[in-house]
Amino acid sequence: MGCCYSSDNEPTEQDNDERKPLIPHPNPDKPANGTERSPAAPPSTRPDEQALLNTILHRTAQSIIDVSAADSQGMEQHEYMDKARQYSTKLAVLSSTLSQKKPAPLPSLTSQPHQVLASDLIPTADLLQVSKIAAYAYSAISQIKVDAKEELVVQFAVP
Amino acid sequence: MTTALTQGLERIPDQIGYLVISEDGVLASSGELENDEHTAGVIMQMVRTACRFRLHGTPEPPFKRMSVMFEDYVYAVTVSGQKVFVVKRQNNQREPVTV
Repeated sequence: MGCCYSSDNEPTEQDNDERKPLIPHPNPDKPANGTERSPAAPPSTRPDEQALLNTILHRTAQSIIDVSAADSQGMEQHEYMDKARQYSTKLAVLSSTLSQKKPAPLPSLTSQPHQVLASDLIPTADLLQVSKIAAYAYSAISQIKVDAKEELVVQFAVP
Repeated sequence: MTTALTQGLERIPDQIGYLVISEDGVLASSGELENDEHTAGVIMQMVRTACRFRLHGTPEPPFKRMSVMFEDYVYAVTVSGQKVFVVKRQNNQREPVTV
């Protein structure tokens, strides 16, 4: 069992505590942005760690759902029948919309398949011409590029 | 019923194999395409894609036959009566030499 938590909220004053790194920055000469703790004071971080651990434990205990410990309450017969009817009507509604998703049937291209298949193959000259046209098209498309005329980012002159 | 389908295919000139495929699977196969379910699957997908093409909003697909051309052979494919017919034919045409 476990629990996952994430939040898209902007970090508030409270959250800053939770988001502070647990391991102090290794390089004392260049502290990371926003960090105020000095790396040379490990004893003072212990209560922070402990508080942080407690917060995590508390949050997990609140959010955890223990399935094995849940007591399964028996349902009465009429409740069961009601639920079964409710679910089957819902299914019936959904299955009518679902069945419309069958793939489109194959259209009939001809009534004389043998004749169509037996007729002359595509002449090689036609094939070469089409290949050439396709090559031209490919070459043209690959040459499409953006012609940058102006800078997109400009500096505003502040007098 | 399969003989009615396959008799015509047998007589196609230069044919070296054929397949008759339905929505449920391969109905008949012969020659180099005998039992070739893989090719049948690929061709079915190609046919389904090709049948979706439309020119200028016409209701039907704009072609009668789809040809998959390789150097020495061709797969000619068509659809009739909910069945896909595939014939593998030899490609005897030689490329014209441009001078």
